[in-house]
Amino acid sequence: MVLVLGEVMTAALRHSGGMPRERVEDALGLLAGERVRISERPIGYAVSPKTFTGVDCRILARSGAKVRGVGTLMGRACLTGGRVLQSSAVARIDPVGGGYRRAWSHYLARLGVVEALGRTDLPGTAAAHLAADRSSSTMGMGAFCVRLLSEIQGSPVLDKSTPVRARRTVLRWAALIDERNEGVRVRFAVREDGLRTVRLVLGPAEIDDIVDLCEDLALHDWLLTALMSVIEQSQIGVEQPAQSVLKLRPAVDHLLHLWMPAARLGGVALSVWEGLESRPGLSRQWDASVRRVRDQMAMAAALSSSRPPESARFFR
Amino acid sequence: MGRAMRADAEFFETTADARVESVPLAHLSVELGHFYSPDLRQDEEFFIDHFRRIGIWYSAARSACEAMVPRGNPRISTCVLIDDYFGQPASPSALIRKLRDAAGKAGLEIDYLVRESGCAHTVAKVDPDPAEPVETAPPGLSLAHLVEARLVEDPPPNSTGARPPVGQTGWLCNGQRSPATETHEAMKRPTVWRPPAENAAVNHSIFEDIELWRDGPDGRLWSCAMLAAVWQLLRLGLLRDNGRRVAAPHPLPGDLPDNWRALPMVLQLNERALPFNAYRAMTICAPLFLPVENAVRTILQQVAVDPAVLAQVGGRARDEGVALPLEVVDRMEYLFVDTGPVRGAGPG
Amino acid sequence: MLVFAASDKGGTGRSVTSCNVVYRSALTGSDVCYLDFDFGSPTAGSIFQITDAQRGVRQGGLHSYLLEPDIQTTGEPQRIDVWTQSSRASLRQRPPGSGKLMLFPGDQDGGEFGPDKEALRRCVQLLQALDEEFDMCLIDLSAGRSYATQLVLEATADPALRGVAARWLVFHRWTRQHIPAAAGLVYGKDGILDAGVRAGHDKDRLQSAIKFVRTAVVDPDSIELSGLRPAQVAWLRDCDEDLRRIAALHQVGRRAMLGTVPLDPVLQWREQLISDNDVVARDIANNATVDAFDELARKIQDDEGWAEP
Repeated sequence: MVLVLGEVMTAALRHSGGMPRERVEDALGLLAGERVRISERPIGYAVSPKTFTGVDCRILARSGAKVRGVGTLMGRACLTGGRVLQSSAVARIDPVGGGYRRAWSHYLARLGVVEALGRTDLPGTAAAHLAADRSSSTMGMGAFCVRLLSEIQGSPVLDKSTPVRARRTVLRWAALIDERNEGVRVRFAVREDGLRTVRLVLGPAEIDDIVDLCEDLALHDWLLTALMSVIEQSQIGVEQPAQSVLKLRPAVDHLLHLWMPAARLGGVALSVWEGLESRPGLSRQWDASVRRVRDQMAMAAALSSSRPPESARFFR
Repeated sequence: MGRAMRADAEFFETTADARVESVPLAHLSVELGHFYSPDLRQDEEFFIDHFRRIGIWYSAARSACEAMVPRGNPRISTCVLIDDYFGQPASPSALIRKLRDAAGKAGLEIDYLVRESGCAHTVAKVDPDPAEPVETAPPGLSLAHLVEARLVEDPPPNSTGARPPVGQTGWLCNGQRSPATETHEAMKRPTVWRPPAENAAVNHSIFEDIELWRDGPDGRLWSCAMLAAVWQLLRLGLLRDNGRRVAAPHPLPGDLPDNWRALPMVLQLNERALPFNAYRAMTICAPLFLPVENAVRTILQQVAVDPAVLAQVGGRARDEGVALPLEVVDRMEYLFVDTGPVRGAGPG
Repeated sequence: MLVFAASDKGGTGRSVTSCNVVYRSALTGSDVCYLDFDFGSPTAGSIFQITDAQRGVRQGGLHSYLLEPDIQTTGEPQRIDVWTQSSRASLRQRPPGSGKLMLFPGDQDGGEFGPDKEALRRCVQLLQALDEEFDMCLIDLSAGRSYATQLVLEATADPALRGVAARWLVFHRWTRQHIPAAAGLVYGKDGILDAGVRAGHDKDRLQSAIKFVRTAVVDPDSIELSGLRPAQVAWLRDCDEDLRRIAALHQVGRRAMLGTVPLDPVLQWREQLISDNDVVARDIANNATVDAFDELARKIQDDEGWAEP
């Protein structure tokens, strides 16, 4: 059995408009001498080179016992649709015999692996990772994500104006890979404080694909959270429709076109998304929210059509 | 079974990573000398003596390599490194002839001559045609910058991903420094002195703190240890810039310029030379270089070479039946021997 | 938008006024947060009446966020949602259409500290993250020439925060001692402008982002003073005139002023949020006080009053 732990942090890019390719390369170029990979279809997507940070810390298992973990976390950042920025921290946990730490070069020959020194219960470690609340994060993955995200958000190529105000969300995930597993089982949970957890149990899979999948889940969860918050702020039914529409506008400009579950992904990701569509039904909720926004805009347009033209300028 | 089950370096990468260019590889690269200004001013006799002493050990390194390589037919190349970064050596034409003649008289052949400042200055664009001049590259990053970007520091115990990178200081160590003892919070008890500690210490510590660079009014000055670390990685064929190979060897131009900077970084002196880059690197030098080379090892222990490059080189070694250590630092070997009255690095 | 609340002396009502301004902004629908950077005495929790954080939180507050990065594995300090955590019933009913109201408390027993480079980096990251989320972040700074003030001056000069609006409120009581003291904090040697320029700010631009707020002001014409004898009113008027003259002399006059907060016993003695309930139903606080908070909240966000000269 193989255990991979990860954390994804999602935020709106601090930039008001679209960005040309070179700017995106500048912003996401976390590592000198390594390329930012960019694709345009089916949705604009750019991913930074991988970066690594060393850890030597306690890892919690469910029993309450702790083991020492030594190795490196892999970190990377990606930008979707030129709007949504994410950073990820990932590590595979390898239990090893012997309770002593090796020379550091040993760990750099196994990038992205944290060796757990001592007896380790992998499902227990996964459970502890997912059970923690937002105020603590396994091996400091959260802080690593914050650091990567902040580095990009502070980039001089960004104009620092955020189109949609929203709290950064955190999605923690654990994947238990076992060759005896067939298919994939997924458990997605929405916790308080903008925290989400995903537990995956699956057969042989590439870790890169799992990271892609979890970032995709975090992206869509963030979109849904941000859209619902915009709708709430717009006070539909309390405010005048024209006022509500003003507040809904950022969602229309920046969010609505980004919903494309598993657009770039295949295999495992598709079957996970299929599972999530029946329960909790993310796309159903998204579609309903989008309809609500569109209805509100249509109504505001209808009401304003009888008025002088300047009040209709929001709809251009 | 998926590759996720394997515990090797290519763990996060797709197998055949086309983005990484490959380089020709010898089995062994042997460094016959690392010359600083004070030594470069010596006469031919000095170098003949130097190469004679080195030659004894060069033969030993050759035999050792023969024994390791299947079918006993090793590809070995030799090189010398000259310092044109901290000092200003005599013109290329005079110096190159002196070194080649001395080596020849001592029974050795210098395959490649390398300028150390090439590690510190902007990467020259690799030209598809080696006959073309190379120093027309646009400003970019130096090899030293590429290596610095790949430093992943050895974390002291109780470090999580929250530990801030200390890369901004220009110093790299193998443990935990003795903490500063000034108070942090007002009216709190001052911190007491604690000794530094080596992370991988078995019992007692050997703590090292290495200066990688210093920023001054004239820009960044890289340290000798950092440049030597870059040099070792270059010899091992492990450096790439955006997946492209760097500092490819160029034949000696017919007309030698007066200025070293006008030459490519790696000059091929011997037409029949085997590849400059090699699976392993052997350095034969005077014990006076030991502190620098120890620092090089400490630096290279903390450089995370691109896993795709490691996988590529590792795969080729496997295909050839050559045993290659997984850890880069284990691919470097040293012979610290008396090479005559060398003075090593001058002031600076 | 980042709003920094500073004062030269303690007891100016800086914290209580700031909390009220943040609260009034949230009521009008803005998402706002309050950061307790009064490192020597992190007591904002008591103003918002958060039972578990009267004098800061036990762990994970702003002190440990800034000073102990190794321990804080999430890279985020603790936050308290005032709408749900306040022990005051009238606060716990979040009115419809109101925005977020979040408190970032300090740590219990935290003290003033000399920030290092890492604390500065973390401060920049925090302000950056909060600016993504909130319409207004109010940072309440320790009184006087404090490390907190120096820290945020350096943070706002960082390229990562370039382009983020930053405004300064300097609070002072309307007295002969407090007016020159407030002026000294801004214009004096090693004051905000001096330290700001050293941190990399443009002096004129920084100065145009600093406004004064007069607190505990007695208005001789107010209804509350209608019972005074004519001689008393005349004396008050003279004093007020004198103070205006002193203020103008110290560049703390009307042009540099953002607003005034009247003397109100509820603020002086209880140091808490004044709810509409306190004014209307209980009739213990003055309407003019709440009006002053509303006015401040509006002016802080109104770009016109903050135009560069």
